Amino acid sequence: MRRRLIQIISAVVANPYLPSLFTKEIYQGKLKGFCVPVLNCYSCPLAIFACPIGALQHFFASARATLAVGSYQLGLYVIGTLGVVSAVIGRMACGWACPFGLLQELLYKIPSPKSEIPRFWSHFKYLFLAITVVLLPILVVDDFGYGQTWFCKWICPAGTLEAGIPMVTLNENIRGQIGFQFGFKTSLLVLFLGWMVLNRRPFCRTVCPLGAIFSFFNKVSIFKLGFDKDKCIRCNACYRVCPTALKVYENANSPDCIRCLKCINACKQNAVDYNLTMLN
Amino acid sequence: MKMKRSLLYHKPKAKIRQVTILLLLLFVALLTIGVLLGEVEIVIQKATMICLSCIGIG
Repeated sequence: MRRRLIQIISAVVANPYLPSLFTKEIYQGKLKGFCVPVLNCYSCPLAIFACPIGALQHFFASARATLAVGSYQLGLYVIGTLGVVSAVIGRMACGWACPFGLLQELLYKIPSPKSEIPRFWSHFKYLFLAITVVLLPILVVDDFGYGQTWFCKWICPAGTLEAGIPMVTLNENIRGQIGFQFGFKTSLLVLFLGWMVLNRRPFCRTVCPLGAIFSFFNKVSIFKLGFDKDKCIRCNACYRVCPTALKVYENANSPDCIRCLKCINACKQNAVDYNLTMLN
Repeated sequence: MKMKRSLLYHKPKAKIRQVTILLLLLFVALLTIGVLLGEVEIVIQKATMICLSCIGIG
């Protein structure tokens, strides 16, 4: 309950710009320079912060043109921000602050036949990160050396939901420009929304490039899960409550763990707890 | 939630602690360099324009 409240507060804090509903323009202030460690599209009419994945792609897409004119603005600010967050809390922001993660958890509550995602699918998110966020924006460029933001352009369902549909609804000029790409992204969003009803956090586990970045640091972050294997009776209470379908006894600091800490309360054997690397 | 010290079965090795500290220092350095290079202004510039790619029309 406390986590749900924090998730809702985070979603509101990242998206409080109500004037946009009347002005039909997005927020233009300085706060947009701050990258929040969640997938929250900066073209959402309500957003006041920047999406790190969108910002990162823009830096990568203009990297070759930037280097060609002797500049070195390559996204170190975004990489550093994400790295600091990752090194301290790993994927905890996914579990406590991401609005798109909250949406997935709420949709999974809809009564329906539930199923599990094959475990190896969780590797796909690294492909999405490598190909659509890093490689394509850097390698596929126009005559002036500028690439495109491939993940935003063709995949990101958060962008479609938070920015695409609201902006098309609010702004007549934008509405007049929709075509195949918008239809494709909207169809993809519908598929993802349906998938979220059937599976636990499918987007986070198989596609999200931001989760993929954070996941590299789950094992070395300051905040970690602790596990006492002598107390564990493998009752799978942790698995039943886990939003990413993990069994703590298999890997307490799995790359897919979003540090929601539900397993700590679920474990009647007190085999799971959290700890801070620096204090031990 | 109170931390139970007795449950800290996997005590992080000193090596992992060093890696954590090194990573933290590295990323703080990258962040600082990025800020000094004026990247915050670039993020503001990009994020205050409507991203047509995000919307699905560009």
